[in-house]
Amino acid sequence: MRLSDEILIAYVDGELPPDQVRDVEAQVAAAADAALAATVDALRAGSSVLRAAFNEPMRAPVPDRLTKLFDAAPAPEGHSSTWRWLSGPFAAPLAASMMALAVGLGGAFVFAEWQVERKIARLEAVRAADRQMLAAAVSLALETHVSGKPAIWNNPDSGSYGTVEPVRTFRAASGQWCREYIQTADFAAESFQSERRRAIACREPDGQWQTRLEVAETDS
Amino acid sequence: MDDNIRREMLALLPRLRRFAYGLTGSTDEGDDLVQATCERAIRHIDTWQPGTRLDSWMYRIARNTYLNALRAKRVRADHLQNVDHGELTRVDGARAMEAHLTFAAVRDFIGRLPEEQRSIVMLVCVEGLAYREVAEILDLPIGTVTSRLARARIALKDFADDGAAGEGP
Repeated sequence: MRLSDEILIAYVDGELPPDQVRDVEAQVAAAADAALAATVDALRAGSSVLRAAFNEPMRAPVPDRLTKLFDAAPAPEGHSSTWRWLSGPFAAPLAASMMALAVGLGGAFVFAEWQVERKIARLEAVRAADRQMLAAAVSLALETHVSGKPAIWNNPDSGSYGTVEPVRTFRAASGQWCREYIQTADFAAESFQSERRRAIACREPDGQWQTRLEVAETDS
Repeated sequence: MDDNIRREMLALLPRLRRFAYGLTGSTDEGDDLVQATCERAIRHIDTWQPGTRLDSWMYRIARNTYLNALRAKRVRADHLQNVDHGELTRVDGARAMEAHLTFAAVRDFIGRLPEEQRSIVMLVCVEGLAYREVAEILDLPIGTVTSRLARARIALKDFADDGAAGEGP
């Protein structure tokens, strides 16, 4: 099988079925000239450079004008999710009694609850962004960094930051490449309590690094 | 709109901004695009099918919104096309002095790809989506996605090689 550009690219992107992956790897390893391996490296480097070139939005805080779009108080129909459950035969009397309850307790309670929910939503969004950045740093470090060279990530939006450092590379019995790494993280949502974890991840045929083992390390 | 969906959309904002940055070439224009995308998504949330991927759906809206804006702009700027082209070449000449493959040069390169390649490169290389997902988002056969992707990736590689060669003595 001659390796077309499309096949090499699909290989780099982790889109080839396992049998073809083996075939490509064998051919790259056996190629007399280094051109084939160089092409694979260049294609990989191209993707990394692209990710880095457009990474600014992943580091910079999301502008208010965008987050505000999601701030709007739930419109009247926003409450319909509650009413939608109540479409059975008891809907009308139940709705009436709930309405009475709401009026009785006053709108303030509902409003306070909504505010709390909004805060939780923000916090969740921050956590999700932190986790995304950590995951991105893990795949970047495992994919492109030599052991001992840490990748640093930080989320200015939340203030969270951390490092990912590969420490060892080995081949598993399954033939997969695996790496042991240490990740540290100071999550703002966890009040910046430092955590340090030692983990092992293996590279799946699709190019994703799958964490196999993760152990929290405590300072002692 | 359901609170979970709201949360999920908020969490998607950084990635959407990155994608929009790639399409438009500037963070400001990208944020305009993201804003238009979110407004549409919020207004038409009923058309999203629960159980399908929200991120794919929003990438799709972003890309369609961008295409619409691009078409409108093209109609208005048709007579300026030659001017635009000259401008680009001149910028290139200046950039050639810089070290090859600065991030700005890469963004420039992506900006000059045909839109049909640019969207695919961004979704695959930067956003990390599978070919199948990209084909669904763009309504294209998977073969078209892979061939356009190959063209763009080889062009990027050649661009990097040229830069490296140009740097020599």
